[in-house]
Amino acid sequence: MNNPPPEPKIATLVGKLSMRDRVSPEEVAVLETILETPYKVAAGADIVREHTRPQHSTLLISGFSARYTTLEDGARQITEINVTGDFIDLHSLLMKQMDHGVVALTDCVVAQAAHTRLIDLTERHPHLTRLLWLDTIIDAAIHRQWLVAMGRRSGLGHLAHLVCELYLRLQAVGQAGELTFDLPLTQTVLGDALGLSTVHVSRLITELRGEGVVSWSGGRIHILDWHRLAEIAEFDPTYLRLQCEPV
Amino acid sequence: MLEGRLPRYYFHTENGDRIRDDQGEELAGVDAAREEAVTVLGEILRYRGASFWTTRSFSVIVTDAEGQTVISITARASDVAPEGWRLSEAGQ
Repeated sequence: MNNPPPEPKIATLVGKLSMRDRVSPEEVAVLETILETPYKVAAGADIVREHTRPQHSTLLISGFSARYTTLEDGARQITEINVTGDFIDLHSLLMKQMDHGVVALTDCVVAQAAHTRLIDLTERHPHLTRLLWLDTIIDAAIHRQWLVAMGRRSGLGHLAHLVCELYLRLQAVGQAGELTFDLPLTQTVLGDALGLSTVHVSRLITELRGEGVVSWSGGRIHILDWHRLAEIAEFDPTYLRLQCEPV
Repeated sequence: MLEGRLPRYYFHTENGDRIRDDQGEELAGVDAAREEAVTVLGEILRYRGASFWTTRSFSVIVTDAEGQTVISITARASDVAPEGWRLSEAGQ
């Protein structure tokens, strides 16, 4: 096998899909073709607006984005944090109308794939279709785990769970070092993701630091004791489906 | 940005242990600080469970940028009813 290395714009997506099942050179070429020229989105801007009917799905090439819903009083709940290599609104292909928005949490680079070309992909490439289907299923699994955390985990367990999840997801796309990763998100954003006040998030970070489990400063996290962190989080990575198994 | 001109409030907590908030939060005003104080109290107490009976009291104290107390809120556990409370008058 001497596959040419995938172009940077789809490298992380292909890397992630390849971790779950083999992606053929032909399938890589298809992904490469359907994705248009990448462009930048500034931090704080919407990548996809709630209630719109997108004609394309968007791949996050770099940066962090979030799915969110805003309530009438202005309160925002983030329902998933997306990382490099995530197809952030692949479901709009079939859902048609967005039931939530996607916002750039940091400066992002994204690329779009027209729905017409994605439909064409599903008709010609059943295996690649299943791989992308799996990706949206994992999004749903992440939502389930967030729901459990939101409803039943302690504040500390919830924060620890998020740290474990983001580390493994970033590691899967080559964006984490050995037990360390950048998380350039404000405590307000983390609060919106955890459904907790900024004050509480700040206390929880201090508590996690105090336990000697992580060091966390300047948007960089070092996991000092993975075993203990996973224990606090009661973390079971099954839902991230990180194993390689044919789809 | 307008945000930079908002007052900053600091949310300290006291339950035997004193946890000082050095970071604070920019809020629209004292009403927003009141709202946030209740949220913080509620969130933290939610996970206290039986351990709340060890200290029996939990306070959120809010100070402004000058270190002056703006508001405080306390939840207390006790074996007796609050003063003046009678079962016969409850639930009408």
